[in-house]
Amino acid sequence: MDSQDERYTSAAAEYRPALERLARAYEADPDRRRDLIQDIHVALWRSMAVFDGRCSLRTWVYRVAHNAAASHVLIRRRARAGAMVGLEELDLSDSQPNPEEALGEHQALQRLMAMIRALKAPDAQVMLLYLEDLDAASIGEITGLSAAAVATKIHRIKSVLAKRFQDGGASR
Amino acid sequence: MSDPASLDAKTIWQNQETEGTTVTLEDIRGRAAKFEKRVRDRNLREYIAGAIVIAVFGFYVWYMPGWMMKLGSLLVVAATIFIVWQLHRRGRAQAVPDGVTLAALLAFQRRELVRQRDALRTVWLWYLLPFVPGMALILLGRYFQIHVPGRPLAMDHLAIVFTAIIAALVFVVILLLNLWVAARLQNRIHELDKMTAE
Repeated sequence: MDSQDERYTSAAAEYRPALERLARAYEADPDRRRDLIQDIHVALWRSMAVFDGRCSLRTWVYRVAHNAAASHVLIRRRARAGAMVGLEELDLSDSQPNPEEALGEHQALQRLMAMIRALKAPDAQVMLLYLEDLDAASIGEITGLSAAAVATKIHRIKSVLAKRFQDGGASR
Repeated sequence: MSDPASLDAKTIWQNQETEGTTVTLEDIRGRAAKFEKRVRDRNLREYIAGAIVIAVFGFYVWYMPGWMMKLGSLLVVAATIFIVWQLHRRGRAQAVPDGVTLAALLAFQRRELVRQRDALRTVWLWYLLPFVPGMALILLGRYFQIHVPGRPLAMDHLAIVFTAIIAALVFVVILLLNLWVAARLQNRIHELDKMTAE
């Protein structure tokens, strides 16, 4: 069997970009984000000592990484006044793009980030996994949510994304 | 998942530029070792403080005149051993489970916060109260059995009462500090609930 270091190195090589995107979604501050990325890698390395293959490597990596990021948010959010909301409560009224003004890709990305950071942890997790293009079954396996709950959340995510990006840069 | 807006959001998401932060195995081992050292140092500080109190009051058992002060010192030693054991038992955080779902992790973190909060809220019971019999007996021994040579009795009694008031104030400050930290933990529990509530 591979050693802990080998398993970690292989997982980190495969999922490094996704882990970075995850950290960017959870932490806006560049210095703290570097810290978070390191924390995620430490958690992943540690976890590889007990990874027994009962679930897929992808499921394991995403679970460990999301857990590390959520723990980071729990510590950081204490300093923030803004309350987090569920997917159903996302306020779309003031954020729809002006039809005459296409959203740039950068702006569209910033909007996505803002949406994710405003979401409660379980919804943010589903949204991120969805954006990583995981299918509903994989999202269910990673989050532990039922297929029906995942389907409901994905339906809501699609609707939110359609409303926010219908006329903007997201369509390019 | 064929909605164009969603697909494009996914494309934008996956094509975003990342910083390409490099994390080497050396970085990881260094960070993990630093964390473990911090925990180890904290435990060591507790044990050293306990050892100093035990050494000082153990010396008093042998050195102090009068049975009340000897017994009081012995009770302080016993209380210290009890409290170090309590700190070891209560302060030891459970290992964070690996590879569990986010919901399971957040439930675990909530349980841990509640456990820590409750330990701080009951600090009067397991941290302060055990010291009371020994401290009281030492002060009573001073009041009834041992006096400073050359000092008027009334003055000596006044000094002992003053010492007792200071000791009581220190207890109150420790209690209030712990209750304050418990209130902060309660805020974190609220934050966690807000982060997770459906």
